[in-house]
Amino acid sequence: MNMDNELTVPVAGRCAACGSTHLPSKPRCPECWGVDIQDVAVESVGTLETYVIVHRGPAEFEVPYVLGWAAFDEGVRVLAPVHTADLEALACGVPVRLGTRARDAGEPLPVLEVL
Amino acid sequence: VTVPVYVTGVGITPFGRQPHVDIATLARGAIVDAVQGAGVSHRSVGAALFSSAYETAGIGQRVLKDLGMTGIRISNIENACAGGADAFLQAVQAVEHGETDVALAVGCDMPTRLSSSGILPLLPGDPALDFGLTAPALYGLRARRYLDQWGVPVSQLAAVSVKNRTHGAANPIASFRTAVTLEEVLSSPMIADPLTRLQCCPVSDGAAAVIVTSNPAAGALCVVRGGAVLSGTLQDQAGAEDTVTSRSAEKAFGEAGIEPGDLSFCEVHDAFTIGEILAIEGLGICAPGQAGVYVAEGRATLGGGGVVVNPSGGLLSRGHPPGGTGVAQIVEAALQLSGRAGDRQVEDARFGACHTRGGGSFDLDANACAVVVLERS
Repeated sequence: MNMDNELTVPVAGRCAACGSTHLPSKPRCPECWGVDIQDVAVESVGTLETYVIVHRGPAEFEVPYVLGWAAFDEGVRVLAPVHTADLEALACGVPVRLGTRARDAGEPLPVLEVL
Repeated sequence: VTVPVYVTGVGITPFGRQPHVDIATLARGAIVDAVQGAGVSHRSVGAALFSSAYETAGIGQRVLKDLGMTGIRISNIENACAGGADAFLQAVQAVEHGETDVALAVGCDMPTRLSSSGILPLLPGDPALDFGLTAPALYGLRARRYLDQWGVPVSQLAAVSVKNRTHGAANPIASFRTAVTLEEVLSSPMIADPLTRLQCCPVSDGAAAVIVTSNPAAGALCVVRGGAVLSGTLQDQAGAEDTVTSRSAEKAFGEAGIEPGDLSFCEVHDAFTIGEILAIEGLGICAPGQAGVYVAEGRATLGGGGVVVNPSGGLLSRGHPPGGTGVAQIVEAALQLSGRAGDRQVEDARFGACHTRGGGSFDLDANACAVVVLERS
C-alpha cells in the first residue's frame, strides 16, 4: 500500500429517519430501510476497544502489524489497521483517530492512528 | 423437535493431513460406518444433507453415486464452520416432517490441499483482505479484549489448550494425541498476540457422518432435543455486541427445555482458545468473565466436577475441516451419550450440547452459529 498518501476524514451514512449510522455507508438503512442517508464525517477522537499484533500473516504483509476495533461518538465502530509508533504503548482504551488513505487500486483503506 | 428423532449410527475418519486419499473416498468411509452402525440398508436412506466449506459443487452427489444412494434428496450446504451442524439439523427436520424415515448428514473437507493461508477464504473484494485480517487475528482481537475487560492472565487462555490436548490424547481420530504443558503453550511461536501457535487449531482433512431416524428399531445412541442455526449481526455500530452464540443457545436450550447447568458436557468451537472461553460464557455455563477461571481450575476437565468442555479434545486436538467439524461434534456427543467414548468417557452423561460458529463477512460477528442439544436415550 502507498503510505505517502494523505489521510482523509471518512464519511459515514446516517439514516434521516431513524438515526442509525453505518461505516461504510449502506445504500438503504439496515434498521428501518430508509433511503434518505446523510453524510456524517467521522472526526471525533475514538476509543480503541481492542487490538491484535499479528506476527504471522499473508505473505504480502510485513509483520508485525496491528489491527483494532475502535468506537466513535458519531455512532460507528470500525475494524481497521492501527498505526502506532510504539507497540509497547498499545492498550485497550487509548484514544485514536480514524482516517482513510487512498490507494492506487480499490476502495480507500481505513486507518486508526493512535494519538 | 416434535417427533422424537434419534441418532442411530455414526462414522468418522481419522483427522489430519491425508494427501493420498480423495475427498469422496474419505467421505464414503464415514458414511459406510454410519449406515452399517445404524443397522439399516443404504437403500433406506431417503435424504442426504452434505456440508462442505470448499466442495459445494455437487459434493454429495459425487460421493453417493458410487454407493448406490441416488434418486433420493441430496442437498449440499455451505454455512462456514457451522455447516456440519446445519446439515445435521436439516437431516433431523427431514425426518421430523415425515419426508423420510432415515436421513444422513455428512460433513467433510480437505483444507490441507488449499494454498490459501486462511482456514476460510474470504470473498474477493472483502475489505478484510486488504488489511490482513486472518482467522487468528480475528480471535486475537477477542482475546485481547477479554484479557483487558476481566483483568485475567493469558495463562487462562493457555489452560484451554492444556485441557483439550489432554482430552484429545484419548481420541483415536484426533490430529494431535499428545499432551502439552502450560509453559509449552505460552512459549510456542506468537501468531496473533496474545494467541500463540498452540492456541490455534490444526487444519486437518476429515469426514464425519451420522444417521438419524424416527424408528430406532436396532437401538439408538441418543435422541435430538433441540437445535438452532442463526446468523451474526452487524458490528459497525457503537455498542454492538457479539451475541450469536448466546442467541443460538437460548433458542436451542428453550426447545430442549433445559438449562445450561443440566449439561453433562459440551463440544464447542475452540478453533482458538479464546473461542472456547467465549463459548462457555455464551452457552450460559459461566457468567461473563468466569470461563477462564472455570477452565484454569479444572472444572471443565474430565472428572473435574463441572460441565466437561470438549471431551473429544476439541478442534485444538482433533483438527478442523470447516464443513466437517459440526458433524464430528455430533459423532462425539453420540459416543458420549451411549457410553462408547472409551478413556475419554464423561461419567453418567445425560445431556450434551454441540456449538460451532464461524465465517467472516466483513462487519458481521459471524456468518453462522449452531447449537444442538442431545440426550441419552
